[in-house]
Amino acid sequence: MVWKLLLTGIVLPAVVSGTILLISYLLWRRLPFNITQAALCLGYTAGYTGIGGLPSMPPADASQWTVYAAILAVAVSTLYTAFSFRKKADYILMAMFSCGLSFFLLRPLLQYRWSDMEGFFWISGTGALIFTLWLLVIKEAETPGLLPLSSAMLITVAFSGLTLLFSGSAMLGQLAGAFTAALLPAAIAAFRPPSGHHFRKVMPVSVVVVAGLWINGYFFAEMPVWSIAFLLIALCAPMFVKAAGIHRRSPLKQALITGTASAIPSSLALAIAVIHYV
Amino acid sequence: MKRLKLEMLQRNSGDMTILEKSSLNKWRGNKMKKISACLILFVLLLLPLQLKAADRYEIDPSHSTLIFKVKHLNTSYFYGRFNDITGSIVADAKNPANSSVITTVKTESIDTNDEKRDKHLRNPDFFNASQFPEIRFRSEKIEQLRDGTYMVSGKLLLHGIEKSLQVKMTKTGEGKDPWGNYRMGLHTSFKIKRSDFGMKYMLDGIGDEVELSLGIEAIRKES
Repeated sequence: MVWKLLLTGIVLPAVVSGTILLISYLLWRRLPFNITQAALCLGYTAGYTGIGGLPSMPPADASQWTVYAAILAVAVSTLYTAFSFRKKADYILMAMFSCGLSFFLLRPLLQYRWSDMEGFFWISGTGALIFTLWLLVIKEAETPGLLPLSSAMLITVAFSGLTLLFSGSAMLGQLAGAFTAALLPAAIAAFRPPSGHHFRKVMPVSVVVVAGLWINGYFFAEMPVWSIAFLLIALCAPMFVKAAGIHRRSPLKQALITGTASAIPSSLALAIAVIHYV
Repeated sequence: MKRLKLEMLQRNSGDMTILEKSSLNKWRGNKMKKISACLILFVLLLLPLQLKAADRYEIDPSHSTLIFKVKHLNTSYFYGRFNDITGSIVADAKNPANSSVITTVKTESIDTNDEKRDKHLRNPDFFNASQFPEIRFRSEKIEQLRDGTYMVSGKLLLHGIEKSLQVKMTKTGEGKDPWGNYRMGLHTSFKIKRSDFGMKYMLDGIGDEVELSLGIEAIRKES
């Protein structure tokens, strides 16, 4: 049973995502357009199917929305790349996507638990949080070296999985694990410049999946709010590293330092969830 | 009035004055009104008799139970229950086809004698109680098989997915309680596949087939 879980939840998404990246690299000697995020999206979808079965259409529960949001994020950003919009349109699109995702994830609570006013407050607040996370990650992706971001992202998502496991939902934890596995080949490829620049392309998918899992964990399981706060801080590690001037060091050192800087708040997030669980 | 009518009929209508014609119309109108009133009264008198034929019951949550049985790690059967059951029954003894059952179970009320496990069962891995707070059965057709046994067809809503379900329901007893309320008991047992309702997590560890036993005690509501 454990082997099956590891195979479907970890190996399968990593193999799907890695194979697509490898084929693309062999064909074009680089990772073109949105292949990287399509690989990540397909890897995660394969992992989701292995863990919780094929998502139904329309989505039956909030966790399934993370799959559809990832697919939509790939479609929208592919269209966005094809047509050059103004920077302002970029932000409007991101804000719309964030609020839409928040609405679809929290709709059951609006239906059964909240008043319209409460629903408006929570949905707009959560939408604003996703938007902020998106802006933060995009800002980090604009830095020349992408290794700090890839290692911080990988550490944060992996610890998100462990935190979710101790927040009452093994399935959400495994989904975060599947996403980590799908992200791994892209993060490893970031060590090989210039192909490392492809990692910028995974941002929309990463933001919607990670935010979607955190929201599921907080509202539908028992993920403590402080755990989410520390995981957010963990994602900011590349900014601290840049501020400390570490980005001038070798790529491996950069990755190690950022990974450690990200692991400290991530561990705190996990510790809080464990204490809450025990 | 009768004499007036007789005189009117004897006369040729062409000979009638305007005053006489208006009196005749008024008389006819009054008679129609009386007949209509009698008919309405008759229908109104019959209505309670008709309603009386179908009794309305409210499910008594403190004496109703929903138990589930599922295989754990392919070794033993594990039992759990739901504590909050509400609903109503319309029972027509003469014509069971007019009867109906609506039962609602609060998912949050799951009880497996272990608070940590109950929390886990309420989470997205299984029942997802925040997103799907109710399990509901609504009958669509009831047929009497033999005395006290019915075939109830309807829709079961579980985990946000509605599926058709047919169960054999038995009347386990009825009668007055010490406080003068009239009570009726029903029981049914049936199997479902949780994967049919989108509950696909850990199918290897926790069985797909779930057996449910529902015991209902309902109190008749006096109209």
